[in-house]
Amino acid sequence: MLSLVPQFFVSGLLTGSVYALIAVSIVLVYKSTRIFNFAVGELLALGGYFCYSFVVWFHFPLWLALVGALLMAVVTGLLVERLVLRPLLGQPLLTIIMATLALSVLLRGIMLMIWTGYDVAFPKNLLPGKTVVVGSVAMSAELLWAFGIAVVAFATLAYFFVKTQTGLRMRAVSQDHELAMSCGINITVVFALTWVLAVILGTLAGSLMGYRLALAPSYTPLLALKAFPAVIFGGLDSVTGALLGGLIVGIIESMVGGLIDPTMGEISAYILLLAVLLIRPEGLMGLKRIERV
Amino acid sequence: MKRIVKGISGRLGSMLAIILMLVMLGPAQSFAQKPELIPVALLGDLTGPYASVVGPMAPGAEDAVKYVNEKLGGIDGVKLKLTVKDNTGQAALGLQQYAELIATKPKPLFFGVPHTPTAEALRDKVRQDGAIGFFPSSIADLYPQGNTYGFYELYAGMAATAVKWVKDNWKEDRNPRIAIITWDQAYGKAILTPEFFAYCKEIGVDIVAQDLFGVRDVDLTTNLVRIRAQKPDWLLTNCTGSGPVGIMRAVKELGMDVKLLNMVGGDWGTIRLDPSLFEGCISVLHNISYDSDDHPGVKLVKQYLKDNNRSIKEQTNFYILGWQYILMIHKAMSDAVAKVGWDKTTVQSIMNELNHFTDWQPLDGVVKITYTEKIRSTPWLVIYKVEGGKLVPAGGKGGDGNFVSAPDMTPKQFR
Amino acid sequence: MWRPCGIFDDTYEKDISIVRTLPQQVLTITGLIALLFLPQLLGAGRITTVNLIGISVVSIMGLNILIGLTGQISLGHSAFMGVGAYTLVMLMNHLGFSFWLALPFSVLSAGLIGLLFGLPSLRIKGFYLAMATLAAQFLIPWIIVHVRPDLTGGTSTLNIAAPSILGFTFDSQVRIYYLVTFFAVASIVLTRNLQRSKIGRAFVAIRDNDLAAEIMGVEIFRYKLLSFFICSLYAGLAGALWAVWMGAINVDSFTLHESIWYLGMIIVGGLGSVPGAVFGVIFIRALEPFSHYIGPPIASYFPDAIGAAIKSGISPFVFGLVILVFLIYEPRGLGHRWEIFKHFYRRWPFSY
Repeated sequence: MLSLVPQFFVSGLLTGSVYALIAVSIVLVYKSTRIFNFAVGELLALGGYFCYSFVVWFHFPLWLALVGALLMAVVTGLLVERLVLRPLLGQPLLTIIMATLALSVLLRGIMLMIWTGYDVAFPKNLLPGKTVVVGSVAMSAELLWAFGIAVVAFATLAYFFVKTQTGLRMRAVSQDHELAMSCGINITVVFALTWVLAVILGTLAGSLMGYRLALAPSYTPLLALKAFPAVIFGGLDSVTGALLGGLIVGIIESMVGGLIDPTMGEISAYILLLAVLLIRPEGLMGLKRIERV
Repeated sequence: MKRIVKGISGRLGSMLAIILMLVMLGPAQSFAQKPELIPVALLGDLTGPYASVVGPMAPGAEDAVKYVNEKLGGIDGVKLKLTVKDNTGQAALGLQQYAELIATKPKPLFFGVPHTPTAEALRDKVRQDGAIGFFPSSIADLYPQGNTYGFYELYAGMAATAVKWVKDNWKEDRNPRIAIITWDQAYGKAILTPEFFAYCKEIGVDIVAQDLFGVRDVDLTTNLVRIRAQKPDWLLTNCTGSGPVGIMRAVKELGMDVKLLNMVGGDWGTIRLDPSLFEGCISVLHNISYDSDDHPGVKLVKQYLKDNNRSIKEQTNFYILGWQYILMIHKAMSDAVAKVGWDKTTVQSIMNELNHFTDWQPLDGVVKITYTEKIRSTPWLVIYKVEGGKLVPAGGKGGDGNFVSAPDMTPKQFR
Repeated sequence: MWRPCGIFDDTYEKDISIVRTLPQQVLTITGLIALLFLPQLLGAGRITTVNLIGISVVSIMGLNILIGLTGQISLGHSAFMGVGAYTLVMLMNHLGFSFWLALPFSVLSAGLIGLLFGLPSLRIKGFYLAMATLAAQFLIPWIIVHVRPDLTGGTSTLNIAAPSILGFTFDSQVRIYYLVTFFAVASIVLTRNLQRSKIGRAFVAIRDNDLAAEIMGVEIFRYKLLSFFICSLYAGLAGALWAVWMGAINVDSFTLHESIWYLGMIIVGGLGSVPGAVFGVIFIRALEPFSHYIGPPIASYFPDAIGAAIKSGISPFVFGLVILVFLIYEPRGLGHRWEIFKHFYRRWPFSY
C-alpha cells in the first residue's frame, strides 16, 4: 500500500486545485462583502453549461468557448450583484445569505429549463495531451490542465490584488466598508467586481469538471460542498488560505480514501477541520479579530 | 398560563373524541360500474440526481398512454389518464405528492415510482390505500410480497446475470476476479446482497474488492488505484450518469485494461456521455436494444419518439419502461375486466392477472415479463456490449441478444 | 415588555401569562379549535403537507432558540433530526420499545449529539461555527450508513410500526396530524416561556454581545452548550415525528439541503420571533409543493417544444424567485410584518 502513497498524493493535489478554485471563489465574496455564497455550486454549474453550449451549439474551439464562458461569467456576476445583492445592501447579513440560497434554487430552475435535467457531456478529445506517467504515478492530462489553469488563475489574482489599483481598492473594502467609502472608494463597483471574479473562478472550476465528467443541474453544484472545509481550513478571509485549504482537502481526501477507506475521504476532511478549528479558531491563515465590548 | 393550558387541554380532550369518530377509512375498492377514466400516476425523480436515466420514463408513459387510448381503444373503451409528479429525488416531497394524488377522486389505481427511497417509503401506503405500485427493483421495495411489482429483475439478479455471463465465457483456469465499485447510496448498493455474494462463490467468481464512492466525488483515481492492486478482470457497478464516466475515466487514465459490467444504469443515457470510454463495457438491460433496427417493437417505439419530438436524450431504457408500465396496466386491467366484468374488478383481481403474467412480450418482444405470486420482479434480461456507441449483443454464451432468465436472487425468506 | 395602553395586570398570574387579554384568549381558543378541525377543512390530500409543517415547526422552534435567541448558527439541524429519528426506529425495531418509551430516548440522544457538536462554540463564532456544525451533517450520515449497517439499514429504508395510545393507532395522516399538532403547539408554548425565563434572557445577552454578557456574569460556555442542547432536543422530537409521519426513514431525508432550508425558514420568518418562525415554516413548506403544483399548468401556456423544457424547470424557478422577491421586499422577515400589523391593530384608528 505504501508504494501507492505518491499516487494518492498527486491525485489529491490535482483534484485539490479544483477545490481551491471554488474555495477562493467563496472567500473572495466573503472577504469583501461578509456574505457566504450558497449559490456557488449553481454558479459554477452554470459556467460549465455556458462553456458546453459554446462548444456544442456554436462549435467553438475549446479555448474560445472558455473565453466565451468567462465573458458570460462577467455578465452573470454583474446581474447577480445588480439584481440580487444591490437591493439588499445594508440589510441583515443572514437575509443576504438566504438570498444567495434562493438564488441557487432559481439558477437550478433556469438550468433545468435551458439544458434539461439530463446529463450532458462535452465532446471528447478537445484538450490535447494524454496521461503523464512519472515512475509509478499517473497524472491525468485533464487534471493537469485543470491544475495549470488554476495556477494561472491564482497568479493573475495575486498580481491583481498586489499590483493594480482596483485590487488595492478591493482589499481596502474587505478591511472596512465604511473606512473605504470615506476614502472615496465606490463600494458598489467593488462589490460588483468581486462577484464577477467569484463567478469567473466558479466558471473555470465548472468547465474543467464538466469537461472531465458530465454536467447536470443536480449533481454538478454538489462539487461546492467539497470546497466548504477548504474555505474554513484556510480561514474565511484569506485567499492564500483558501488556496492552500483546497489543496490540503484534496490531498487528505485522497490519502485517507486510498489508505484507509474511500468512503472516509470526505469526512476525514471535516474531522481535521474540527481539530483545526479547536486549535486555531480563525483557520490556518485567517485574520484574528480582536473583540471589544 | 397554567389555568389556560388546563382549560384548553380539557376542551382538547373532548374535541379529540368527537373528531376521531369523524375520521373515516378509505372506501371499498371495486368499481361499481364502468368508470369514465382510469387515472394512473407516475411519481419520481424526474429532474433530480438520477434524471438522465429515470427522467425519460415520464415521456415514455405519456406516449404509451396516447398509444393505448388511440390505437388500442383504452381499457374496454375507458381511457387512461396519466398524472406525472416530479419529486426531484426527495422522499418527503414524494410523500406529499402521493397523498395529494391518492386523495383525488377517482384515485389513481397505479403508481409508478422510479426513485428507490421514495418507493421504499410508499410501499406500505400503496398497500393500505388499495393501489398497485410499479417500483424499482430493490428488495425492500418488493418483499415481503405486497401490492408492488418490480420494473425489472432485482439489481442483485442483474449483477448475478452479468457475473454468470463472465464466468460462462471464461477461458482461463483460475476464477475470474471481479472488483465492485459502486455508489454509496440505496440504488448503488442494491447489488450488494448476501444472495449475490453466495452466488458468486457458488459459481466460482472471486469478488476481490468492494469500493464505494459518493455522487459528488469527481476523481476516482484513488479508488481505482486501490482496485488495481487487486488485479481484477472486470469491474462491476450499479450506477449511472457521471458515476460510470468517472470510473472509466480513471481506468483509462491509469492505463488499466479492465471493462465495466453495469446494470440498467449503463444504458444510452450514460453511454452517450462518452461513447469511446465505454467501448467493450457490458450493460445488462431488461429490454431489446434501440440499436436492433429491424425489430418491429423497436421501430414502433422509435416512431413514437420521433412523432412526439422527443430528444435523443429521452431515447433510453426508461422510456421503454414508461411504455411497459402503461401496457402492463392495459393488459392486466383488460384481462381482469374481461373475466369478471367492471363491477367485480378489484385491486385483487387485477393483481391476480399480474401474478399470472408468463413470458408476456409487449411491443413485439421489446421486453419480456413474468410475475408470479412469489416472484415480483420479471427475470428476463438481455446482455449487451458497447460497440461504437451502440449496444449490441455481447456475444458468447448467453449473450446472443435474446432474453436470458436471471438467477433467482430473491432473499430466502421470501421465496 | 410592550404593554398596550389601558390594560392593567392586577395579579401576578396575569402579569406572567402569555395570553393576557380577552380578545387574545378568544383568538387562542378559536385558533386551537380551528386546528382541531383543520383536516376536515383541508381534505386528506393536503394534510400530509400540514403534518410536515407541524413537524418543521417543532424543529424550527429549537433552531429559533439557537439562532434567534443565542445567535449561534447551526447547519447540522437536519442531521440532529436524523439522530432522533434513527434512535427511535432503532429502539422500536431492535429492542421492542413502544413509541412512547422510545421517544424520550430519541429526544435525549439528539440533544446529546447536538451538545457534542456545540462544543466548538466555546472557541469559534459566526460562520466558522456554522462550518463546524456542518461537519455534523457529514459525520452523522456517514456513521448511520457505515458503522452498523446491520442495525441502521445502511442506505436502505427502515419501516416502523405506527404508534398507538390506549388502543388508538396513529396510522393515517389525519390521525398523525393530532399527534404532530399536539407536539407543535406544546413546543411553541414551551419556547415562548423559555424566552422569558432566566435562561432565555441569558441567551439573548449572549446573542447581543457575548463578551459583555460574560462580564456581566453569564456563564457563556454553559449557556451556549445549553442552547445547543435544547435546540437539538427539539430536533430529536421533530425527527421522531418525521419517522412516524413517513412511516419509514432513510438517511437521504436528513440532508444538508434540509438543514440550510431550516435556516432559511428562520430568516424568512424573522430572527428570534416565535410567530415569525411559524410563518416562515408555513411559507416555505407550503411553497414547495405549491411550486410543483402550479408548474405544469404554467408550462402548458407555452408551445410544446418550449413547454416541455419549462415544465422541468418551472418549479425551482418559481420557488427561488418567490423567496428572492420576498426577501428583497421584506428583508426582515414575516415576523417583522406581523409586529407592524399588531401595532397597527392596537393603535387603530390612530397611526401611532
